[in-house]
Amino acid sequence: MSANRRDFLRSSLAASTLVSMGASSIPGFLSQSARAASDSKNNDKILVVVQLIGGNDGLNTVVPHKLDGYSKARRALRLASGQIHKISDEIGLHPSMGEMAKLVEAGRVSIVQGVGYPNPDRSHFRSMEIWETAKLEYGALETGWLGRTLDANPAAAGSDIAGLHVGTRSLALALKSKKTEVPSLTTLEQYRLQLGGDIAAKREVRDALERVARLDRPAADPLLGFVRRSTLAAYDSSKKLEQLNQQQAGKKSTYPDFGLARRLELIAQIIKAGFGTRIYYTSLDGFDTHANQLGAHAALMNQLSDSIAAFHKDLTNAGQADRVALLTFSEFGRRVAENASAGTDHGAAAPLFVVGPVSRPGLVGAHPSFDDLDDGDLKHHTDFRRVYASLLEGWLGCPAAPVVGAEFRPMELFGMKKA
Amino acid sequence: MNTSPLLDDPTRAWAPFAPGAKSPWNLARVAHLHRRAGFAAPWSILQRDLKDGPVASVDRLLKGEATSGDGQTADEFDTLLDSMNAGVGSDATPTRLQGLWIYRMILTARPLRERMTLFWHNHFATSLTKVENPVLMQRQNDLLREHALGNFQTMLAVIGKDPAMLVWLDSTANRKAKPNENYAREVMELFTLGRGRYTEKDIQEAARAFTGAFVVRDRYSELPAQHDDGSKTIFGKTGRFKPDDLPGLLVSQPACAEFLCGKLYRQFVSEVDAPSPALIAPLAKVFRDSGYDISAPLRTILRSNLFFDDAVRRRRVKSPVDIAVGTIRALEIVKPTVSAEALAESCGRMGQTLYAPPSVAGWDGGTAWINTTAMLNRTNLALALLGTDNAQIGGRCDAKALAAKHGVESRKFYTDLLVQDAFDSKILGLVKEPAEVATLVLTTPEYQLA
Repeated sequence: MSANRRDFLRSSLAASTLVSMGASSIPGFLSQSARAASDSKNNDKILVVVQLIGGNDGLNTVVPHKLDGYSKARRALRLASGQIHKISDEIGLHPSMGEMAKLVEAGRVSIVQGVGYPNPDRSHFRSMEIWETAKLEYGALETGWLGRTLDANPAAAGSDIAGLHVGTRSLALALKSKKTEVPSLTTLEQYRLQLGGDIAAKREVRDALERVARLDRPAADPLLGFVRRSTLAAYDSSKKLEQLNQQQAGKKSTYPDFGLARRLELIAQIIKAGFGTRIYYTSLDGFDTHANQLGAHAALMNQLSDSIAAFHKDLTNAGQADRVALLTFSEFGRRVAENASAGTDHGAAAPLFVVGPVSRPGLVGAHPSFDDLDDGDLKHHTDFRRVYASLLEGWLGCPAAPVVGAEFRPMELFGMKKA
Repeated sequence: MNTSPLLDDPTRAWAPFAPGAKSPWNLARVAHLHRRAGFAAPWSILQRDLKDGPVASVDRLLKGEATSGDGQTADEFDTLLDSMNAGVGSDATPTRLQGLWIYRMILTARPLRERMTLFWHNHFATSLTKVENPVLMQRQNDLLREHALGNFQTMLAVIGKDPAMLVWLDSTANRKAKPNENYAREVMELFTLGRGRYTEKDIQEAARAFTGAFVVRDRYSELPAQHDDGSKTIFGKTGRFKPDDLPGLLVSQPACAEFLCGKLYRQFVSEVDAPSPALIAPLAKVFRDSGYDISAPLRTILRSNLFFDDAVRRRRVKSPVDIAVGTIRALEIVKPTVSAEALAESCGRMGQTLYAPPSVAGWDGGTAWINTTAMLNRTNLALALLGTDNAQIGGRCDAKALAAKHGVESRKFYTDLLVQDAFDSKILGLVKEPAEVATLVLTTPEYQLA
């Protein structure tokens, strides 16, 4: 141990001695911490949103393989019935989604079919704006639907941030808020104290930082007390992540080697460390499959399915799976008919997945009709804002009307317990 | 919590501060002045101002120092930075813009002007995320700097023709047939009067006066054919008002000076205790009487009894930019300084991305700066600056040499330099190693307050 480290260690002792000699008693910082307060709230549910960027081919994800319309429209891209993971007699999951199929089997997935919005826009950019803002008006880009949720339900000041973006892309419009800056993170390093040296040195430095922050101050200053509690809560969070990291050191990750899996693993680590953050957002790119779709799409389906399954398993083992719902969405589905390049062009309605303790596992809603197409695209029967409303009201326990509009009633996905 | 009796005594509150036995001119007051009016100061400036007294110190902040942090004359440095700003092209990244500004904040000889430029950026909050044009954003920043301590009515007129602002508020095409109320509304609600000090009719009429104002190829222009030159009634005055008439009409409203002085109070005095109207009234009068010279109420504030009262010290939460720039300045990390772009990114991680305030209302500030992620990033910035692991911002501060240069024992030095009277250096315990002492002080809750 270097002399400096010893100084740090001794300073911790000195500081704690000083505290014990102080006239006023030390308030129970940790029990008073904002995190503790938020934990005691009834609803500690977490929402994870996975955006599939580029427009996912819904027909080759939740495959209506026994419906005539499908086999007629899809020649090069048709997925053979024998390989499909059966959900109903007519519909099943993509052959590469075996893990997801097991989750469906276990009653952990709602597959909401025929989701979209009126007068669908086939521009990636515009349609993403619509999905992310949950507003159809042009120029209504001030806030995203999750940003408005954060504005209406802010985290207690000084506590953990309410929303988090995970990934290297710029912050999703969905998270744009008027009142808070939602941080974007790519590695846990940003969520941890960056202490130098070996483990012992790290512990000493952190202890010293913490002792100095924890010291009782002579003047009872609410602003100072507030900053101090938040600082201590921050160190506490960081410590939890470090402990978690140590527990996992040397252990092989239970996640497959995919980008999405790594991002979900990071989210799981934060959840398991006990953070109060309730909204997480990440994305998977590459769904704009205009040519030679079959192989590329199969790989994406595999990544999506295996990553979500690993995430779910991790949370289950940690006893956290019933606190977490995961939503996938894409800006649009693709045209029913394949194009001449063995790919598909921009379409409209598509299915989406809600993974978690759902009350309506399996297929929700009918498959959109192949006989009633809109200019070659499937028509939606469920507005995506009803799915959002359900996640807000039925899951997070926040009023949905101010976020998505009162006309979009929540659909039943979680067993509607009225708050 | 001690509050000041001055809060209920506006006359004495704004009377010039004169040091006395109970309120001596001491290091705590000198450092407070530099924290609020600038972005903290290095030891030599604190010591000089401690000798020179409050009048000379405040005057120097209002006028600016003779030399910049890198040893150039104040004008040489400004000329250099102005030419760098002028070189910003349409391909400039957000971090480039942010870095240029941060660099200027660190080294400027005119910290009060930069402080006010940042104040106006938060007041006329405009974001690159929507404007999407770095050249326009840089031009707006130049305008804010040019008028930062100038005349508010002039500034308002200039901002009303600023392309970045008009793009930001969707006011690039103000057609006669379809007056756009957005600019008129924000200018009243957020820029001059505050809610409840105008009617919807005032907004509609002001929008008519603003017709004909367009942004064409990134330039402001007025198209006479699109201007509604009929008679309008705004704030009870009737005339055939044009865009140029709006600033005068706005500042003629008594609420304007009160509104702006309330914001100056929050910036320079306290963001914890809301001031009474009686406390703001004398400031607003000074502002009006000066013909809206921004430096007039500032001069009153910075020279006042209230400003130097013990009870208003550390009544603000330092913004991420305050933390980043102030720490670099206090620790004299100037030759070479850190990567300003890396520092700007660090500010973003702490919750303040320059040129990208969350909305037209700016950053909420105060306790909204504080959350666990922000606090971790504040501590991580201190660890990086005093450590050697981070190539972009670390390894440039020799904490031992700095204390030795000024001939003060390191625990006393870093306590006096960074937090002064906020705590006794005893709480640092037995830590002696200068870099560790500095790190500890930088991560205390006290240091997070201004």
